Amino acid sequence: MLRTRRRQVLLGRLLTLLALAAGWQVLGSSPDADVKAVPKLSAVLAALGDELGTSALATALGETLTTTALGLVLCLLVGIPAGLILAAHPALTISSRFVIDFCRTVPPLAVIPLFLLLMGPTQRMAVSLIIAVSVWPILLQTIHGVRNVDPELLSTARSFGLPLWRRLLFVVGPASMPYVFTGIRISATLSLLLTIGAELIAGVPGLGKEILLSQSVPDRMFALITVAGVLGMALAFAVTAIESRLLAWHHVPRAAA
Amino acid sequence: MRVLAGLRLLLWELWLPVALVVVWWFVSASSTSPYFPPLSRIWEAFVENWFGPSFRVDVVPSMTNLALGLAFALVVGVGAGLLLALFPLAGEIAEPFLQFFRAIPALAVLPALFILFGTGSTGNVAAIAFGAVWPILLNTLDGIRSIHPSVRLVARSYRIRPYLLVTNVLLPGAMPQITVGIRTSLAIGVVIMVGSEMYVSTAGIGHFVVVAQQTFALADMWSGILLLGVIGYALNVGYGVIERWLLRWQPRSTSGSK
Repeated sequence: MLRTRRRQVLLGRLLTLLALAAGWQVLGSSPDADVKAVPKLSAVLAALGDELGTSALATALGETLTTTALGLVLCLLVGIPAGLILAAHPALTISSRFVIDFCRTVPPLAVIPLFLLLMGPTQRMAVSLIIAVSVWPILLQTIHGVRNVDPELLSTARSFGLPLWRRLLFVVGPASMPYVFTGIRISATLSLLLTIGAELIAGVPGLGKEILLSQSVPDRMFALITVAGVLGMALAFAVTAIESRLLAWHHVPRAAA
Repeated sequence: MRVLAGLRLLLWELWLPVALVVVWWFVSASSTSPYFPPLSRIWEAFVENWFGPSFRVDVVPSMTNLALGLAFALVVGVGAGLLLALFPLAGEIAEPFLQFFRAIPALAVLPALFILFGTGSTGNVAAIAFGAVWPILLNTLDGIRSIHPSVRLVARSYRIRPYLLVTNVLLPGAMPQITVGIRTSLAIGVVIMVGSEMYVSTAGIGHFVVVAQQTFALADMWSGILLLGVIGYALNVGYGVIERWLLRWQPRSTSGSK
């Protein structure tokens, strides 16, 4: 019973994949002027094959990945300690609430022109952009997480005479981890989006810039967009894998928010 | 007594932002750096632009595109999510494809979408809808799936009509998750609105900011950034009110999400 069900699902997925591919191919060979610019799937796959053989794609991928990773790590290094400090006292939390809320809701791409003027289309600019934008979810979730630590845990730890750093490491850290990871998940997605955005709009070297440059070669452009999709998928998968590893002890099943 | 407490809380919340603005105002007053014009000049530009002709030329198209894109994403997302939840096999088959589409950095698809839908505002709306539909769809699907099985069993044993089942059991039951999805989609929609206008467009706030930057009208550029900040914040607060209304039947939970 279960096995037939699994076979049905796999078969269904395969058929869906084939239908999507066929649909694309048909759309690509349509003579309609409006969609003429959409290349055939076969042409895109051929372009993708060509790209995989060259070093241009590898370089661009490397640049995009470095920028995203660098930005995300710096966000963690800034966001978590800052969150710990701001959560330490209600006065700090309340005072900073409005500022954090405002900065968090500024549409991230709005500051690209400013950063472009200040730093030019460089990797430094993209990393700064990521820090300026992706730090807020981590910061906010750290504050939430720390403030939601069971007070009994804290007072128990205190009455055992644990020094502050051990309380942070062994009590506050693990207890707030599920919250912090929500922030990390949001920030990781956002960082990749920003990297691609900075590359596409401001011309920072990387995958987005390659997409921009290949605008007149639709085959290559669609191939690169597909690569960007796979990259996004890989990133989401990696973060979820790390999370379920680190939070294996956490019993609350995570919703796919 | 409670009014007094509320007032004190408000004071605590507001002193820092007010202080920051005041510091910015005075520190930048004597600024000669072209990149950081005095806040007074930015404010003048803000009033001149956004209470003037640019409001109709840039703000109205932006907000219209955003509203259309989000409305489209909402209808398609909730509808498709509901359908996929009603047919579990279809839902299971579709899941990896949906995850893939959601994981695509929406900005990377911009060039392709503009090819498909043209560079007019249709392209902008399509881009916003494409980015915003996935969180709503996946959260609707997930929300309906996570309704307790006994609720569905009770509904079935009462032989509730399918229409009522959807409107009075499934959708309300999934509402807490759907609202989370809408919140995510709102943020994504604003990002794509700005991004698509910066990428290729002839109107809109994002377009305005880029043109101001390219023509070194930096006070104008800053006024655009500030406006986007205000819009983002206002949308967030406004949606918070809607969300509380949608979930008014729910016992209030603690803030923060896991």
